[in-house]
Amino acid sequence: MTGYILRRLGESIALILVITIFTFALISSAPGGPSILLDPNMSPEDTARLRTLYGFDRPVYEQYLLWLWQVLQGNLGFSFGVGRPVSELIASALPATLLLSGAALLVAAIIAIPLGILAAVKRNSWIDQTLTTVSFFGLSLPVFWYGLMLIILFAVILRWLPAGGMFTPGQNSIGNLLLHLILPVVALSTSIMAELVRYTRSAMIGVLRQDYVRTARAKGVAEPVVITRHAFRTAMIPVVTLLGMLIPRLVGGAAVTESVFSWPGMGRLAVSAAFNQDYPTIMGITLVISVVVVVSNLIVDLLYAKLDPRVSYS
Amino acid sequence: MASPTPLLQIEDLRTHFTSDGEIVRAVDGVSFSIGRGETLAVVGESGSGKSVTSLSVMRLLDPAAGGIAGGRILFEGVDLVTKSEAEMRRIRGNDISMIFQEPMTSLNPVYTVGEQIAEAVRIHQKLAPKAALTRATEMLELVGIPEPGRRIHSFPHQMSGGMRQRVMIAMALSCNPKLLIADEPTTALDVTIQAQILDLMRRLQAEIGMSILFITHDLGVVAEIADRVVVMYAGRAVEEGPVRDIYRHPRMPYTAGLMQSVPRVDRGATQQERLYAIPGNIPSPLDLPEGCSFHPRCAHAEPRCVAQVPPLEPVSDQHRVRCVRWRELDFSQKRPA
Repeated sequence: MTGYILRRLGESIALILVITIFTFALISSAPGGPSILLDPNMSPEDTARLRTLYGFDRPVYEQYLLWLWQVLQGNLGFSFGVGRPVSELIASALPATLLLSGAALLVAAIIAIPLGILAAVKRNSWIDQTLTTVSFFGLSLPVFWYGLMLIILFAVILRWLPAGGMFTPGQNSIGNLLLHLILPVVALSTSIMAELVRYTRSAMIGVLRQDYVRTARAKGVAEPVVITRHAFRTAMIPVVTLLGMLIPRLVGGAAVTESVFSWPGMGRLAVSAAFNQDYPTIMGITLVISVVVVVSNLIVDLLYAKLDPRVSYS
Repeated sequence: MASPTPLLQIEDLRTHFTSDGEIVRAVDGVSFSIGRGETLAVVGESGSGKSVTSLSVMRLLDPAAGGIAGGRILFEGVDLVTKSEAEMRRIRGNDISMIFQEPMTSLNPVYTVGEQIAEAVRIHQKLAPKAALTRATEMLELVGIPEPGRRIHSFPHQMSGGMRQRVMIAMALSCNPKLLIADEPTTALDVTIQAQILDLMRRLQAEIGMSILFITHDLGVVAEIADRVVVMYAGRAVEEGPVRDIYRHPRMPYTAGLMQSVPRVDRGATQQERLYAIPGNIPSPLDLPEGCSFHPRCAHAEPRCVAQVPPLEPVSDQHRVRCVRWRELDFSQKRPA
């Protein structure tokens, strides 16, 4: 087990390195160059001096190695746009993103998994048909449009909920935070909820046909226990796999939701960094999100072994 | 030998399914009984309705697919057909338990075998988890699994097919049922393991005294374990009687055909002949032939076989047959003593 974790960690580090190399190459080949050199008020001498200072005159691989060397010493650099350390920007944005995507995942799982089980148990009934229709509807909603509609309805017309941000200025209570969390969580969780319902349903239908479910019934186990303890317990294995695959999408894909709801998270930070050609911030965000994704995948794989005794890692 | 008050008495059972709006008569008027401590084998090809009969007794048919359309299933004189689901749950695994054909898939992969046996004990005997696990260990020992104290912590995938079927038997017998329904319990196993499992079932029956309803397509197995036999064809019982009568003097051409298709050492070695196979296939339950369902495959069919479904007629005290020509046909087997 320890050997397996160590091997996976080694693979993860290699993977993250490849991701950063790829991202660095992409940024460097983007037209326009770093925003810091584009100030029209700077004299050509100042531009040249900055170019040397930041190392933009060196070959790309050298720039990358310089960046990597600094990262290994715990320095993510300074943002071109804001003039603050990238680590500080990320430290303030990451918790907001983890909160939003974690809440969206939790809400989606709590609502969608029981609905998926229900659809499987009552398959081909009107409940199942309705859930299928609603799921496809939810799956095909574009988040940017859906988010705006939510804002128009609940913030503008009904005035029940705030339109965006994390806190009302001056109010830093948990209640206020939760109020601000509702709309972005609804927007973000809708599409994964739809997917989870469909996935749980098909996993459950597969398991409910298994011989061991019939064995449980033949032992005199009550139907609700058959469904939860015997059927869902094994159907959970593929569902957990899906949850693991959803985490990267949530953390990375929160960009649109965060932009729509002015949520001060990584997604919004990434969007503005990309617009500003803010190299150090883009690299910092890429690195941190890669680590989050790789670590969450590792956790899911380890959980997998816990859930399924047939799986053993060595 | 049927005792005066049978443990299980099935009367005119009809189990129907709906397929694309058409009614499939999977079981079409089957009657038989099992005495206390008796082993009754129900024999037939796949599609004959034997498994559906056993699932009907357990009331484990998928309600979306179909259900019992008529008849009675008297268990200790009480009709199971009219029982509520909650009442059936108290009977399943307790008074009547069941083992299945596929030991590889009949156990839940995510629970230890000990937990799975203990679950039945906890439900029906209201034992505490620890006492239930002790009972599970005893049951594993009873079915001949070495090191039962260690094996209760094993998962199904850590055991062979034969071991898993022993676990299934341990689970089924953990609450001392009065009736064990075994649906092709040895079909998926190697021949040597088959013999071990049959031995085990015979020994446990002698110890515990339960009755066994043994569903199989294998007449060789029937001779090993059963007291009486019911032969089923296309949803109906076509012949019924004590094993010896059925083997030595089958009256129904179908039974005789089944008998001839069993490989026999004493015959094959001397006569160098190919093993007999009944021509054709069992008819689709959606499209049953008129009259005797077997007549299209029967070498002895006559026009009157098509005219009507032959009644089940008594040949002797315990031997009954559904064939209009049984008085004329002689399929007696000459077996060396």
